[in-house]
Amino acid sequence: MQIWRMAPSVRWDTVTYRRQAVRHGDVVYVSGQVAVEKRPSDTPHQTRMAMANMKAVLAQVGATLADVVKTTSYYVGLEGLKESVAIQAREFPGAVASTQVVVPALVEPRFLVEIEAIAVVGAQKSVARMPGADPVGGDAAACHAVRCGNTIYVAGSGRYKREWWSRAPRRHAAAGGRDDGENGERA
Amino acid sequence: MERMGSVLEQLGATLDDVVHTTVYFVTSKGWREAAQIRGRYFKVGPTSTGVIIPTLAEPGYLIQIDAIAVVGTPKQYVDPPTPNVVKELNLEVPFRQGVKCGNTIYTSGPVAIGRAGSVLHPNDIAGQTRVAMENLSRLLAALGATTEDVARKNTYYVAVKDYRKTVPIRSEYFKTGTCATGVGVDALVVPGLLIEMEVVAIV
Repeated sequence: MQIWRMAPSVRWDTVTYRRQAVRHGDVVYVSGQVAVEKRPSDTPHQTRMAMANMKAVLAQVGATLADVVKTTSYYVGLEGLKESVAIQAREFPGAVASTQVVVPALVEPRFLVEIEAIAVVGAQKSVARMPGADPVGGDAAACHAVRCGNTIYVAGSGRYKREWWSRAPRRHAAAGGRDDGENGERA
Repeated sequence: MERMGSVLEQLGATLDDVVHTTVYFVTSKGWREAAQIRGRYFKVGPTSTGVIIPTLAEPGYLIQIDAIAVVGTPKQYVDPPTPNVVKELNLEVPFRQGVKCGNTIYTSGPVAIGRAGSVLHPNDIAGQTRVAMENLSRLLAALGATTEDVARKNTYYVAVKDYRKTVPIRSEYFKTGTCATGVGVDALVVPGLLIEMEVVAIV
C-alpha cells in the first residue's frame, strides 16, 4: 500500500520536513493544526481557524471531518477550553474519541490551541461510551472510544462529568442542520 | 484503567490488545506508583509515554490515559539494549519500547536517559535530542524500519522555546516528511529530561 505524504504547505514545513498529513491506505494522520495569523486572538477563534485548516488538509488527502476518529487538543490554559470543545463537537459530523490536554505552552507563544487528528477514510465506526458518564446523545466529541476495523482509539479517561457534557450543543444530525447559533453551547 | 477496560470490552477488545498509551500526569508525585498500577493490568506491553502537564480539562483530575488498541493482529514487541526509563529505574512493569502490529509500529518515547536513571546531556536540549534520535533509530531498526518510515511524531518539550534548536538535528532523520505535533510540558517523568518524542511508523 502506498504512503501518501502531503506536500509541505507552509514555509517552515520545508525546513522541518513536516507534512500536514500522511495517508497510508485508509488511515490519515494529521499534524497538530493551529491558527496561523499574526494578530492576537482567543481560544474559540483559534479553534475555528484550526478546524478550517484541518478540513482543508483532510480534503487534500481525500478525507473529510466525518472520517476523523481521534483528536487530541492541546490548550494553553483552561480559558475557552469548554467553548472550543463545543465548537469541535459541532464541526465533526460523527463520533470522535477526543482528548483535551492543558499544556504550559505551544511552539509559538501566540498559539492557544493545537488540534491533531487521526482519520480513517470511509470508516465504519463502532463507538463505546464510558459508564458513569452520560454524553449528549449522538453528539460528536462525546464518545470515549472508536473502533475502525481492528484498531480502537481510546480517548483520555477521567474527565467526564455529566454537567460538562450537558452544555454541549445538540444537533439535528439527520437533517444536517443545527439548532443553535454561534453561542448556542451556552444555551 | 478500569474504565479503559470497560470501553475496550464494549468494542470487542481487552487490555491485552492495547499497543500504546499516552499518560498525562498533573503532578510527578506518584507517577511511579501509577506506572506500577497500570502495569498490573497488562501482561505484555503496551508501549507508553508519560508527560507532566499543569492541569487536565476538568480540574481535580490527576491522570488521563489515551490508548490505541489493535484486535486480532500478532504483536511483535522489542526492547533494544539502549537504556530506557522502565529498565534503568527498575520499574518492574511490562511496558515495552516498540511494537509492530501488521505494518504499523508504535513506540514509547525514547529519551536521553543513561544507566541507573541518570540524565545524559543535562540542560542541553540539542544533546538530548541527538541521543533520543539515535535511540529511536535503534528501536525502529529492531522492527525493520527507519526514521524515514515515520508517519507521525509527537514531541514533548520541557522548554518549548528551545524547540528550534532541535530542528536541524531531527530533520536529518525525517527527510521523507512526517506529520508532527509539538507541545510544551511541565516536565517529563525523570527530572532533567528536556525532550521526548513518540512516533508511529508504517513499513
